[in-house]
Amino acid sequence: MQKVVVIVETKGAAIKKSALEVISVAAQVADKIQGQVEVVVFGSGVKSNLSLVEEFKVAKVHCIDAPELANYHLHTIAPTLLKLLQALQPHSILASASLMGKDLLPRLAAALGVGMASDCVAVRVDNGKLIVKRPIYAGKAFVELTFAGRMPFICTLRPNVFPINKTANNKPEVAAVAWNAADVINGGKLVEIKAGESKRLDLTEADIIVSGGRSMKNADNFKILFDLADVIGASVGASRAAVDAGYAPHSMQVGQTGKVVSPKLYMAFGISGAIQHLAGMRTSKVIVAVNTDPEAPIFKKADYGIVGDLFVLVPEIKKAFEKLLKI
Amino acid sequence: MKIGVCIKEVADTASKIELRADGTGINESSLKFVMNPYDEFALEEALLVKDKDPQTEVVVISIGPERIGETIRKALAMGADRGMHVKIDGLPFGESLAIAQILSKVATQEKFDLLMFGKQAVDDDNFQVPPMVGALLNWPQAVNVVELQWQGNNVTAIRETEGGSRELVALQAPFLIGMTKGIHEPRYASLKGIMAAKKKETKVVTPQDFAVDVAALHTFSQAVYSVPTERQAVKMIGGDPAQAAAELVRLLREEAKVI
Repeated sequence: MQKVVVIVETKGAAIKKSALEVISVAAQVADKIQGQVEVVVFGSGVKSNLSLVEEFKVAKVHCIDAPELANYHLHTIAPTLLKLLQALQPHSILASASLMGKDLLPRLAAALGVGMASDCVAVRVDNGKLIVKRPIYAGKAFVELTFAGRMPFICTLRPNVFPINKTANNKPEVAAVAWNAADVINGGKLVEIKAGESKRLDLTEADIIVSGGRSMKNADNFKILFDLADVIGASVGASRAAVDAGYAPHSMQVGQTGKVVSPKLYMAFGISGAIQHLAGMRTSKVIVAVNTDPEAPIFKKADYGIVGDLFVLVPEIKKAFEKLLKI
Repeated sequence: MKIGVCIKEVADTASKIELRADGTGINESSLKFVMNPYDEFALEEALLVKDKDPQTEVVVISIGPERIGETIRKALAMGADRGMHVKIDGLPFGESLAIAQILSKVATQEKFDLLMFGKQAVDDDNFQVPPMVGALLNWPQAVNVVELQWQGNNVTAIRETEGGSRELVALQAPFLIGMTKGIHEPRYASLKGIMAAKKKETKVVTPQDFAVDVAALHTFSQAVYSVPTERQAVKMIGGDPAQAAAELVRLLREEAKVI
């Protein structure tokens, strides 16, 4: 039976939400080709955290569990994954287009002798072949690509685009895959991780984002956005202008040279809407813009807009959310 | 040390992207071309190594049609020593495996100690070539790098990862790096550099010179281009701040259904 394999991303031994989106898509593909979904989960302590997988139509879990795998690092895990994939001979391999997906999947693809499609926003099957749609030119255009025929068909999926469809109640077969310290790529080693301060979801995976532009005037003022974000469970972003002015770190930057996000709600405060910023958030489901300038380009791309002073409106919006959510 | 910097000529991000009439691709006639911004950061890091050790040789490699010669010359004007132009006409978007095969062959032939890349090209946004080259050469890699700390020919690469975290990765030569926006601003080409570039060599070659059959490496049999459907016009919300805020929140709950 043909296998649709998902490389599952974990964080701290728990399966990430974005991985569940990928498994949902894999299940649909498997249905179309009369195949089955097999997932690969790796990390430290993951073998006791597989229950989430039971809610999806997954036939088998390949579990690689070792203390050395506690933090994802390409050089440590890639050779083991490659060997496993060569043995499985999949029809297709899917993963999230997270930073891990970007680092790892192209490496595995080339090692398997095939190309791949990155950051896909749509996936379908036609005549057994995978057809995917992905944004190019920072989302100003799309290209729909038909895989030529050499398997495995490999693609990564943009986080926060595909719904999570729990369709089953299922106990997949679990196979333990051994990891050996000798199976590493030589010459590269993870030396240290400096954890960021963010307790919130990374911007690329956030469902709701509130963002500030240069009109925030200074770094301290971002506190009003963090306070708003706390009420609605959002992550906080910034425009390039705000980052360049030192009001926010680069890790918060949304845009062409920052992060590309696709939340269901994006609220832009004091952001004019330069093309490069739009490039980073144009696929947001709903866009709200608040700006004192009625001619600001962002109003052309927003769904809802308010002309006004963000320093007055942000606290008012926070109050209104608190009232709605009865906080 | 010998450093290979892989650069790509891409359409300026401010360009208006229009489809060709037959939908088979993007209309290039209205585009302005520049060096991929992330590649500029990669080139800058290589030139900083050369600033410290003038014995360093920095070679820029670029793959594409006739017009990319201008971008290679710009890299030479910034300070690269020589260029290599692998001429290909009309390589479709997404065929990164072919690009990676060519670059890995170049790297082996040139005996580079390291390869520098921008993490992704801002036209196809693929983010694939650097790790693919890593696999073909079996070199260690670090992508999404913001800073390099050198110890002789080896490096500690600082990567930006999720949630603002940073990873420090130790790499021994030969290795490859995929730069994101780094801590060093790319330099401008000086007039002296522009003049000197005219005397620097750019070798023009083809994929066949490296025994790479691009057609055989095709991943996709068809590519259909489209532009996104425009959103409906914005709904402006008036009233005093308290009223506007209340109305916005109501719409987000009842109409947009996102809260």
